[in-house]
Amino acid sequence: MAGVGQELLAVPLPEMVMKLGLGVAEAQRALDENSVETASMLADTTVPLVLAVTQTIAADGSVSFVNADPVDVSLLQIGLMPTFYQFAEATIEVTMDIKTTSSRETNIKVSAKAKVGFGCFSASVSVDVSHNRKFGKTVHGTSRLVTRMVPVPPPPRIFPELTVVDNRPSTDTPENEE
Amino acid sequence: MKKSDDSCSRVAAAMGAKIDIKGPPQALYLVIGAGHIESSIVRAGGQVQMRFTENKLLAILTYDGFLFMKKDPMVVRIGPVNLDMERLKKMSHILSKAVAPSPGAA
Repeated sequence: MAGVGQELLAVPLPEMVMKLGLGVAEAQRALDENSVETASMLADTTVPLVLAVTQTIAADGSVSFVNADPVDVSLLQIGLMPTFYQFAEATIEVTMDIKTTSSRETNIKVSAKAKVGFGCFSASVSVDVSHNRKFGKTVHGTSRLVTRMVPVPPPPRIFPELTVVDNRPSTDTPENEE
Repeated sequence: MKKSDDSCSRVAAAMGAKIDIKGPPQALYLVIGAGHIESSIVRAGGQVQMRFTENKLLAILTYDGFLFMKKDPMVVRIGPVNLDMERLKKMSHILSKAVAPSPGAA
């Protein structure tokens, strides 16, 4: 009969770890693809933004406001980022409940026979002994896979850097911003 | 709205496995629909935060709400997003300098 230790050795732990690893890798790829598609949607969606309002106070004290022309900027440009997730932890728990039973059963069958006849007597006794040993085994097993995902910063190159080169003639100090 | 426990695949159901997914309590999602989707978001227990077009908006949803929306045939695309305040400030700073009208231009 296989012992409890043998049963535990029979647990396909390496296979479970391998399949968990492959499952995590596949899920990670699906998550990344989803985030990249979201980034693409954010880049394709533009909104008109009024980025500057100038308040002018006239000599007579009246106040007027001038909005700058709205600029179409993508959602990605204004800082709306897709959320990237990463698997931070994966745990496998295997629980086995092994129950073995052994029973011995002995059956004794005794039969006696006697016969009396004319001038003769005969008798016989027969004993039949049988031994029966039974083994029983019950195995209950449960496994639990737990993974934990955490949000991570997006790749640094996902955002297009904006550089403004201002070539307008001005009497003031020319200002080139990056 | 269905709970996330009901999102088990057929394979998981055949194996008798129970899949439980615990997501963030609430998060911001970009939702793109095939048409008017605001009612779907309300049905999912979410709130519309910003509407770009009739079928494109930002909404706050629970994770269960997100899973519910993913199954909605009216939803073309849904994905979690977050606002990077540093980038917003930088962008706003650069563009406001570039497009600011000169005083007295009115």
